[in-house]
Amino acid sequence: MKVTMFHLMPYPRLSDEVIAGQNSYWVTMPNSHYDPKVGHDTYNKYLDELELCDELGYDGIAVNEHHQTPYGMMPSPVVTASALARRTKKCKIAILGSAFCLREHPLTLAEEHAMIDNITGGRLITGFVRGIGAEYQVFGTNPVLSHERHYEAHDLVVQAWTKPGPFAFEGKHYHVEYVNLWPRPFQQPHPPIWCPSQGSNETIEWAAHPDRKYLYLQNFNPFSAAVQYLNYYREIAQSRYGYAATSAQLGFGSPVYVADTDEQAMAEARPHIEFLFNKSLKMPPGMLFPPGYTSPKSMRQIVTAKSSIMVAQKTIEMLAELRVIVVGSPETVIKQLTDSHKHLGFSNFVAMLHFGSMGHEQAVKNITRFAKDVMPALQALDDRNYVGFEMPKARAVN
Amino acid sequence: MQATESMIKTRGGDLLLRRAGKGPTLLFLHGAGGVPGWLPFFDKLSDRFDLLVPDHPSFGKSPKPEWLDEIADLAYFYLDLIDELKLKDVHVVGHSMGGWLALEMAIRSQQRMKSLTLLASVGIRIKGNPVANLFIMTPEQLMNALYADKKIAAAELARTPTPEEIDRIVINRTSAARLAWSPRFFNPKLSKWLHRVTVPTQILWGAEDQIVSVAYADEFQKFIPHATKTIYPNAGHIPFAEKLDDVTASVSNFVMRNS
Repeated sequence: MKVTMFHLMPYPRLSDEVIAGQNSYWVTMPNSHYDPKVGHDTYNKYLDELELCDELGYDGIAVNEHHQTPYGMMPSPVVTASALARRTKKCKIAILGSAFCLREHPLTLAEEHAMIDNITGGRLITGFVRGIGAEYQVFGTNPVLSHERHYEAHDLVVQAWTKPGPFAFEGKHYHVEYVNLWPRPFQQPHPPIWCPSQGSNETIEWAAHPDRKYLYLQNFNPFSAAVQYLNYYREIAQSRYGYAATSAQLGFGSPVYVADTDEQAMAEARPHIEFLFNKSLKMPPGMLFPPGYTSPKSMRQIVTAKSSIMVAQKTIEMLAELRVIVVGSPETVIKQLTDSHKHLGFSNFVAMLHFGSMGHEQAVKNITRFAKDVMPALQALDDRNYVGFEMPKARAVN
Repeated sequence: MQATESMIKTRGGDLLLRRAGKGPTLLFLHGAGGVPGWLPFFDKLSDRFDLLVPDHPSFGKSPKPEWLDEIADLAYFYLDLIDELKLKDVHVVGHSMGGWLALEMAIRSQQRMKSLTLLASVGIRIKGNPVANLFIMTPEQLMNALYADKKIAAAELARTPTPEEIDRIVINRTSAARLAWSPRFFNPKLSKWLHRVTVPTQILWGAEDQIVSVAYADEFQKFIPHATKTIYPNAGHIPFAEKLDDVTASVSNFVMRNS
């Protein structure tokens, strides 16, 4: 199994008073609370943490994209990945992901990803995401068109990477007279494409298609949801597309914290994990789920929601119980992740080792401890440790 | 008068059409929230007019046609429909997003349009005075913004919507976003063609409208100088709910005067 360290790069914790005074941590949180000196310091510490991962033998480091929020300071993951490209030597750099469809011109992102792939000699992994609903409040991109733009942007980008140019791309949302990338990607036919998701049958059905066979990465969900979605990938590959999906097509991610004992790990992780889930996801439901972005079923819940805030308060115990997070001694963490792998057989594990309000020293400690005492056991896992997939006899697909 | 409600076949696909009454033809174009059914306002108007209240394609019970991308598509659709139904001398009443739609029709062709009533209409933008963000509001915020009389808002909120109502809300919300997400409920190019609106026009507004500020009544009048203007005190964004008799009288008198 390959192990990747994922960083959200949050802005350091805003006071409870500031957060309580705003109805959202996203989009409308006034940027007067952003201090550029803090930003400078934080960016560089976070980049140091990711560079350390390369030295410690992580297979990959991962960055992502969110806009206008202290939840994450990476409106452009291309900038973060570029800063890491020459400072790292061996690890993959995964952009998980780029929201191509938010852009009026996704071709610019195709060019930028190709540049990073060339500079790193083929260490780029490209994630295709739609962005979360809040992103659509920022750019004015119509959320009703989110899916069709997402698919069309993908076609444009992959064709730009693989089809000899120049050619014209004649889509509904994107029309380009001359597609003719200089540079073409280093990796052939193109950088690996991952589809990070919080859980979506539609994304799985698309990723699993025989023309694509992209890696589906299940992120930050209860283990039960990971079971449901990762098995759905294998199921749909078999039943709809007639092939057996391999573990190489599946990834699983969660926040991880390691310390000497379970008690110590819980105590040290608690304020940061609870900040992440309880404070930094605060936003009105209408902001998170704009019309058309999500299924009619989710929309029904939003238009009838009595509460203005989506987030129900969670404790670290609840999150650990659901296995949304993995927190404990090295033995506990290895045991839980080995068990997850045993039942799901994913080939890539994405560990978020900095989260919420965690400081630099603590993050370095967690990254180092995980690399030393947990990672080797995970990297040794493969399909021999996986129970294998059995088609469900009868299951309602919803 | 109770309306017949039927799904009619048009060149642009199936359309849910409510129709009742005799007299001059009046076409009511609903706003982003659609219509829940045959309202008291329609009942009163159909006593004197041949009133047509369609669910716009993709709204309410009308299916979404493949061709629908933007508000201009709906404008052409309704101009076609007027021809198809052989309607003559149509008095168009557009509420909110329906007002915008009526204007998009009028700048293209007023051949069969006899008059135009804009009720709390969107379609243009006053810089610094945007339409309220309907898509981000909670149900409480929305109801309180819709009505000047907070008792009506409270009564609406106290009611548990039926599953059909919830479906309608979701469908209409998505359909409105398709047409009006960005630019938000306006067409930046509309105002430069509003001089083409030459039919008799009236502008009706609730003084307490918290969705589309009453300042827009003046703004529309700047572009359509021959338009008359009536402002209802103590009314919000749906003046025909809060000032039923007054709005009915304004529409009826105006239509009769121009028939």
